Order: sequence, then structure tokens, then C-alpha cells
Amino acid sequence: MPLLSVDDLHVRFRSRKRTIYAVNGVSFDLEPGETLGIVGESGSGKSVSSLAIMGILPRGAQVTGSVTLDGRELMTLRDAQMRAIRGKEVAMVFQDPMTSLNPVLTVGRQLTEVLRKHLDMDRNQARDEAVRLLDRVGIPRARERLGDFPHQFSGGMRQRVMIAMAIACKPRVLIADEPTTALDVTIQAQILELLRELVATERMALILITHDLGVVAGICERTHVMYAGAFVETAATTELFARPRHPYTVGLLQSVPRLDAEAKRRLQPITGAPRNMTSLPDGCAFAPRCRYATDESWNNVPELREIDPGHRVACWNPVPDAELAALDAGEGGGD
Amino acid sequence: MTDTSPDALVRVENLRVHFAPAARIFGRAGNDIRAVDGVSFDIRRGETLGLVGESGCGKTTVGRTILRLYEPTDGRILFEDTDVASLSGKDMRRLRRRMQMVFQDPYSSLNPRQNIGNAIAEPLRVHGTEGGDVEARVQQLLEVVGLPADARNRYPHEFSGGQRQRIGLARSLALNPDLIVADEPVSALDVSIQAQIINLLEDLQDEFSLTYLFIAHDLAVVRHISDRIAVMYLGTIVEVAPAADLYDTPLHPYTKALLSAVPIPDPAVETTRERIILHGDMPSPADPPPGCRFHTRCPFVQPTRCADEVPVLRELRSGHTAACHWVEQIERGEITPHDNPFTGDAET
Repeated sequence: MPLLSVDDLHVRFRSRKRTIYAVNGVSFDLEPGETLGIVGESGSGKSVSSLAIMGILPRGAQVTGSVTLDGRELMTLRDAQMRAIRGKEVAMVFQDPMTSLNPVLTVGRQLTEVLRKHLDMDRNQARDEAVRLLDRVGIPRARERLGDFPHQFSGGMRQRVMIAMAIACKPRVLIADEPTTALDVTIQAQILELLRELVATERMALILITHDLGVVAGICERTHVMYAGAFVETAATTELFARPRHPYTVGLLQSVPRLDAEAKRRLQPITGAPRNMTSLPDGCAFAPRCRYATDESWNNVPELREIDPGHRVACWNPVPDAELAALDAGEGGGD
Repeated sequence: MTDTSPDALVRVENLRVHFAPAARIFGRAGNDIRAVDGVSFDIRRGETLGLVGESGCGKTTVGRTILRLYEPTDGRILFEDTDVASLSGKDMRRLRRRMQMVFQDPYSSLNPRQNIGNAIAEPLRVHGTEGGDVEARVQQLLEVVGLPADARNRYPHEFSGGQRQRIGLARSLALNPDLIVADEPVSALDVSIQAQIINLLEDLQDEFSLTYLFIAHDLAVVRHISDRIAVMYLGTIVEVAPAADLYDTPLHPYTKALLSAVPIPDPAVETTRERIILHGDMPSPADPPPGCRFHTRCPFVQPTRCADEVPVLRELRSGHTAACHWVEQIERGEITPHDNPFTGDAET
């Protein structure tokens, strides 16, 4: 049985004027200790999916589908029951640590609060454990820094504090939503190294949500590519990068400049703009931007189907291998 | 460094830009923020010079000071042979026609209540183009940047991020500038849109013989678009090299660390490459370390020279300069990465 299982998750935001179809049928399993990447651009629904799993979407959101942890359904839990799971079994790290830490409480106070609430520690135990955690995530002089406020830490150090809070109760699932996007590249490398190391030593499963294909490549065993609220491709990370089959995945890979590119070649952008999410498409959501689109793409929604073991694609016309080789050689047809 | 290439459009000589800290404005003592502290480089006519570095390294300040949006504290900025800092308001306005800026967030640099046609026409009118000529030029500019002709009657909020960056480009091109300072022009855009704008920048450069100073933190993007790259750390330039050389043979330890930290979208590469993980954060520009500014974090730091002697940019290969005392020894493998006694940072 998978540790976490998400089945046919839908999220809609309805207002008087319009409905936003943010997540449209997302399903996946997470095994214990697995590292899973979810890649997508802004508005693809990747963050909304994770907030739905945590049960922390605003009240107006309509969420349907099923989320189970160890076979136990989370969607029907009452608030108090969910609070016991959140932070203890499933914890989350956000992009901007400054907005998720309380600016008027010391870091020590915020960290010990988690420990006392979830683990029933007394004041002294919690304090010692907080020091151990800060030390664990690489904050120098941890004991002295318990009395500091969030603004006294740098961006990278604040993200370390957030990670310390997230792992305080030894959660089995850590969801990291763009944990390094706000950080400089050398600091990003520090935080990714820490996450890699934590996952390896603490036996935590990790869901890493990012727009950066490079980040996924370095840390995740499996990767899901998300577009317009749905997964369009999913595979082992090595397989996905070696043999991407969905035109959107191929487009993403072709449109980012690579630091290690051998010769300068023109980027192949994806034409057009991301889909407006105020309606559901009749066919493939990517069809308007896809040069492989056929009548079928416009009229029928493609389901994820397995085309190779463990490699699933939601596309009527997956990019053939021969064509990938041609694209790699820089012979890609126009834009 | 006295790099005297004859084809320099812009020559920056020993530029310093210091700001008074907020604390002092409120009557308390405080050191100057030395945002840019002794920077020299040339921008050659027709090239793209990339300026990279992490937040707070001074790269944006350099770009803005070249256009004299900030006043230099010391040093010279020569545009052709004119010292930008010495010009009067009127002469400066005339020169600004030839140097334009493109910003990261085109939305905050467009007036939400001004339609796109007027936004693009504004620089033309300010600089004396009249009537029907303005109309024709706006039409032409929209076409050049790939926007539909009816865009002129619409307002900024009706456009996506990528389209707004196109509008920003159309505005900056209106007066036929020679130099465009582009400050993080694609950082706010999604990757699929980023590539469209990068390609457009390349096309415009070819079509209008533009010179770019391209300021960004994303090394992959900078490497792709630049002919040469200058790397900044804490208000100084630590290395300048042709783009391919910088990637193939980075000489300065900071450049090595920076390049090794950039994630590459290829798991086969990611799992095998060697990373230099820097410890600690960048020190404050109000109180930069003495000697080499990078010595407090440098994995190659030595007990002599680093902490007390400021390294100068030296030409170590053709067209490739770096400011480090120990480049030769590091290249020969005589100095290898080790713990830095100055960092004061526990390892993990």
C-alpha cells in the first residue's frame, strides 16, 4: 500500500462572475521514502494541489477526490483530526519563509510550540530538541539563536528554520513548494543539499514542487509534469529527461538554455500563452500551443496512458523517438 | 585594469557608488553601503555583455548608474568619449535617447491608465517627434516586437507578462538607442515565455545593431545570450571572460562555486557533477571583508594575502581576467578546496 495516495483530485474556485478550474483530476501514489517532483509553470495547479492535500485551501474552494494516508481518508476528516495530522504526519515548506514565519515571535518560541503541541514535550525538552533541530539543519550557534526573530536571519537561514519546523515531528511526508525559488543560486545549492541529505537519513518521502527542471533533475526519483491543472506526463526522472514524449515536456526542455550547452543554438520556445483556466477544454488543454495537435486533440481529452513501463503520457500524438533525436541535434522545425 | 579596446561604446573606470544607510538618515551612525566599490569594464559596440552575480552584489546599481539613474560616488563612465557623470540635465536628456533601460517587471514600469499606443509614443513626443510620424512609428514598433496592431488601444492589465515585456522593449526601442541596459528582463517570466523574449532580444540586436548590458542572476540564460560575461561579488568584479571560456575554464573560486551550483536539467549530469557548496551568506556591503572580499567564504582561501591584500583583475588568458591571488596554484592543483577558517559556520 502506498504511503500517500491521491485519486482524481479536483479543485475549483467559484465566484459570482466565474469559475477557475485549478486542478482537474490529479492522481498519484507516493511510496515511503520516495522523492517525487511535480513540475509546472505558474497557474498549472501544482501549488493548489499540494494545499488541497494539506487541507489548507481557503473556504471558497471546492475540492473533490480522495487523499489517503496509510489508507486513511483525509478528505472527510474534521478540522481537529486534520490538525493532528498536519505538521505531524505531513509537513510543508513554502517558497517564502518570511511570510510563513510569525515576525513578532522568536524562532525558538515558534519551534518549541510545534514540539509541545504535537509531541507533548515540556518546556526544557522542547528547548533542547529545538536546539538539536536548528543544529541539524545547519544553523550555527543554534542555542544562542533561539532568541532571535525571523528578520534577524538571512533568506537561506530562514528557509533552514522552516525546514527545522517542518521536520520537527519526523513527518513521513514533506511537501516542499518552490523551497528555493526565492534564494540565490549558491544558497539554493545549500538548501537542496540539505533536503537531499534529510530525505536519505530520515526516511522521509518528499514531494518537491518547482518550475525548475534542473532542481527536479538533481533530487527526484520520479517526476510528474503538470499543465493546466492535470498531469500530462509522468515517469522516472532519468527516463523523463532522456525520452520525454509529451509535446509540452519536450517544449519545456527545448526552451530552457542549458549552462552546459556545447554550442550556442537558438531556443525553441513554446508558442502562445498558458491556458486561461476559466473553462474546461473540450480536448487536450495543450492543443492550441502544440504542433502535433490533430482533430482528436481538439475534441477529446487525452487520459494518462502507459506507453512504456512506468512512463505515462496524456497525449494523442506523443513525440516519436526519431523526432526527439532530430530536435536534440538542433534541427527542430520552426517555432 | 586598463582594458583599452578601441571599439568600446561604454567604458566604466573605477566606478564607486555608495549609499547612505537608512539608520543615518534617522540620525544614527552607520557605514556607507558600498554597493559598487571600484568597478572597471568596457562594453564593446554590438556585443552583449552579461553581468551576473547574486542579490546585493551591485549589478543593478552598475546598470542604473551607467544611465545615471544613480549618481556615481567616484570614477568615470564614458559613453563614446563623453563622461556621463559630468553632463548637465539638458545634455544628459539628449544622451539618454541613445541609452535605454528594460526592467524586470514591465507591469510596474507601465502606467496602468495609459494605453499601449500612448505608452510607446511618450518617449517619441518627449524627444520631439510629431503628429503622424508618431503614429507610424508606434505601428512599426508594435510589429517589430511581435504585438498585434490593435494593442495600441488596449491597457497594460490586458496583457500577459511576456506581452508586457514586449511592450517594454517597444518603448525602449522607440528612439533608436545604441545601448540597452536590460535588468533581469526575463526573470519574472515562465520558462516557455522566457525563450520567446530571449529570441526576440537576439533578433532585435541583429536588426538594429544594438549593444546590450544584460544583467541577470540566471547563469544559464546569461551564458546563452552573452558574448562576454562579468561576474560580480559584493560590489566588485571578480572575473571577466568570453561566455564559453567562463563556463569551460572558470578561474575565480567564486565563479567556480557559482557555476557548480546551477542546476542542470539532466539527471545524468546532475548525479555525477562535482559541487562546490559555499558556506554562510554574502557579507554586508556596509562592512565588506578586508583583502579579497570573497576570502570569508572561499573554499581555496590561504593564510597569506587573501585577508589583507586586495586582488586586482589580471589577464590570465587571452581576454580572460580574474581577481584572485592564487589562480595559478589552484589551476595547477596545488591548492585544493578545504574548510574555510573564516566562515565561522558549522559544517551542516
